[in-house]
Amino acid sequence: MSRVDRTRLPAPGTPRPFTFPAVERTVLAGGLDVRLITHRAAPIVSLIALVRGGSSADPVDRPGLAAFTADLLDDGAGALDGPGLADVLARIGAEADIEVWPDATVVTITTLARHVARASALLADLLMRPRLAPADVDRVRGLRLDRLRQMRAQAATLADRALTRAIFGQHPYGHPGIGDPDAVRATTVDDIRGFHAHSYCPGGTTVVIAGDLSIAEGVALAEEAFGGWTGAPMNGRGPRPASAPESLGRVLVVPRPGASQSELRVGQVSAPRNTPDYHALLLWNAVLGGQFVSRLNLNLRQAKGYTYGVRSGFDFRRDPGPFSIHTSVQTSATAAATSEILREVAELHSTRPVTADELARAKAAVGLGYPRGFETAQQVARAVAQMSLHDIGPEHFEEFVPRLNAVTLDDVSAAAARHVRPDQLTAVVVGDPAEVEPQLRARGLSYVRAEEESA
Amino acid sequence: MDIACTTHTLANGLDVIVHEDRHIPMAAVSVWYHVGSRHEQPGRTGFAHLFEHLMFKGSAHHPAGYFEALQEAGGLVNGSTNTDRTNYWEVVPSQSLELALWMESDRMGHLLPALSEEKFTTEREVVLNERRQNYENRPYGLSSVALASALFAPDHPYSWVTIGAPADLLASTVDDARAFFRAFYHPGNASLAIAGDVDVDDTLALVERYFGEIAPGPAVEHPRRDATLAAPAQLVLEDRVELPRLSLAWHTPAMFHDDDAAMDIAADVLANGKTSRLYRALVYDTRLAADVSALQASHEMSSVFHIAATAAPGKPLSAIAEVIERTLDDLAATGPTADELERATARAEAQFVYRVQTIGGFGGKSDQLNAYNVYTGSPRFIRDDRERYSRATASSVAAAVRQWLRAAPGVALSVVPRGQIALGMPGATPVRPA
Repeated sequence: MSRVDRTRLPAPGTPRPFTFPAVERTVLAGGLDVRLITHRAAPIVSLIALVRGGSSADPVDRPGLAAFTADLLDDGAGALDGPGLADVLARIGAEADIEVWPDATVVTITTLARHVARASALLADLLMRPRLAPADVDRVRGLRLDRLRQMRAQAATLADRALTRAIFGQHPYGHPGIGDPDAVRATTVDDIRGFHAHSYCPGGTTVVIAGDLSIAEGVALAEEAFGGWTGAPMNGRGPRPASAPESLGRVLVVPRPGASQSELRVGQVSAPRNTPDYHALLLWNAVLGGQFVSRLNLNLRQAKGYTYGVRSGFDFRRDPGPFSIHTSVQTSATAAATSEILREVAELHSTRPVTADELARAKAAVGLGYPRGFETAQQVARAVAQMSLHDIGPEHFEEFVPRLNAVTLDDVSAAAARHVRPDQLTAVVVGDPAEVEPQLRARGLSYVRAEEESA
Repeated sequence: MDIACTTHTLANGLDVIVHEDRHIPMAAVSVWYHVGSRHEQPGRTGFAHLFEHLMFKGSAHHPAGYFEALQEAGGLVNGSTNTDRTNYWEVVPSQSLELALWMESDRMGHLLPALSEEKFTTEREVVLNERRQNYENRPYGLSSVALASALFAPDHPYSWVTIGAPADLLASTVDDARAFFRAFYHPGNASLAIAGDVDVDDTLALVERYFGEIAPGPAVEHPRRDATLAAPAQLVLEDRVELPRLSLAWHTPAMFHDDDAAMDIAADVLANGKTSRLYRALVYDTRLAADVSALQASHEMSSVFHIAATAAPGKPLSAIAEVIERTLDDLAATGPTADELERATARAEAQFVYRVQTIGGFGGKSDQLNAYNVYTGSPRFIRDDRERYSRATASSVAAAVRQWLRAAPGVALSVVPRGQIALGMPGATPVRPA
């Protein structure tokens, strides 16, 4: 037994090769895009339906319609009412999840492989045959109003919503997915049925089946469950503004008297998923605040202890999505933390650009860990669903790390300069105005109060 | 159902468990120390968790932070503390397994030379901010604090929550940290599990090399206390919330007891999804409540069963309480129906499969192996664990509900919007957690 050498950290061995899962694709007669992946790590199959109609497809006078519709899918479909659906899901040990993203509605059922036929039939019922019954609409309306009301007490939610509204304005990304109380009250059964008829169609949907089954078995399941689904392809995403408004850097205060901490958001409208700068932006963000060891977290948490943590990130969407920084800081450090965040971003663009060492570390952190995202059937299914939403080809998995490694320091600086403008960042502070406003004034940060929200 | 593994105990007392799984080129390392907030002293609550934070601040031979080296190896790293244990984990590309073992062994054997007053003080601020973010500034966030102190006597180590009291955190010192490390952080009070793309023999050799030299520590006394509640308690807490919530809690048997599984099934029957009794009675059919949940929160000494329901606007908590009482009486009388039992056990069994999909991190196989090893002494306890659910019957669930939720008193906590204490249950005593 050799003695331990503790004078240096052990060098890594040779990386083990990893074969990314192969994605097969077929299009059913009705136009449904089906993607299949065999992934045999566990006796589990994950099914995802991605419907290209999310909260950005909400009509202007019905914010929240996509989410309201999605909420009703499992309240009765095909031969089963809501409890009946829940009963079957439980008996097959399945977990069902319905999410509404800005660009899509995503229904996931993960189940034990031996029950996959039942699960795919249920998924087809949810998408193709939801009842959308008036009594369920009214019940769900009540629950959504209750949730909207509870959100008024959630500082993090208030902060997210204030930033979204401030940076996107009237753009379809500018309203919260849940909508607002007036719209939830006004939404009718016909609105919901109309949204479903328009958006839930085979030509606008991708079904991903990933897990412990063969490709042939997956194709047969998809044919069986979705083969009869027909319908006109959805007519696009409707008219939408070419871009979000130009924003001016500013600080908004959302009053929360007596709050024991301040929720901070700093952000702006930035880049779409299909930007050629995607890999460079991921690396730039890793340096700024995309991981534990990042300039923001080292400064605000590790050096100053202002916060439990701070993170930054790009929410890449079909249209340019938000770049934002999230944290919650002790009240006495609110203005100091806001200034530090703005300073860190500005300096990354000017006096302290990303260094060669930081870039190398970011590449290693993001690239070496990449295979971790292919461990479970659900992870793989989600990654493939994302690729379909953004029209990314099957070469993406293989090319991700090489493209990351090809990014240069100049690429990073140029990409950040194109997509992040320090003078256009909006900061939102949800905190005790009596404490935070004098701090902001003392630091020369001019601010306005965010308008109160109705509920 | 099994997680195949090789086990070995080093001469210094460290338990080592290795499980091979080559699906992705990653290795998971999990270290459990058998110390949690129940090992704290009154007046120093929150210390086990604060100490966990210090473990990431550097060790004798790597005095810089622990995140840097592991992150740039492509690894994830984190830890957590609860009432009974503290865990630390890495998921790294398998070529960096040795790095993770180097680092875990350095902080197990050689933490204190790198621990400074300055690191301690800054990290305490971080923890105070964690508490503000997750408890004080979050709606209903202080419920758990109020419930724990009502359920347990003040000197019972479950009477405080793991995050601790701010005054206790502020009173703690770097010398407390040194003493805590010497008492609890040593091989005999730890369990090391490694899962993933690893060779078993090579891994055991690496573990021997890095951990074998660490000196054994003193025997650890694990507190054992009974949990009983002499009389029902009715409390009310004002908070920054929009809708009142009623939280009920009772003492139940410890994790891995048969009645712990029975109560898990009772929670499923009561409040898991649209088929559940309370969801139907409070939300689906009547709209008395905006939501309802039930949970058997399993701990090593004893467990707690929770039911919580948030009132729909304008609906009184007392009406909700009546429905819950009636529903519990029914369940105690006849137990779950055959359909309910079938659903609950199918769901429980599926959870066993889902829980071992990953090699590590928060959950996953390495964590599960350590949990079984630390709590039962048998890393391969998963089969016995699962059989508890197969053994449950309508009458065993009914008997457990009778014994733990009907024959014994519980705590009822109303959380109400500030200034509206009248929205709490009648006769409730106001409480104000620290």
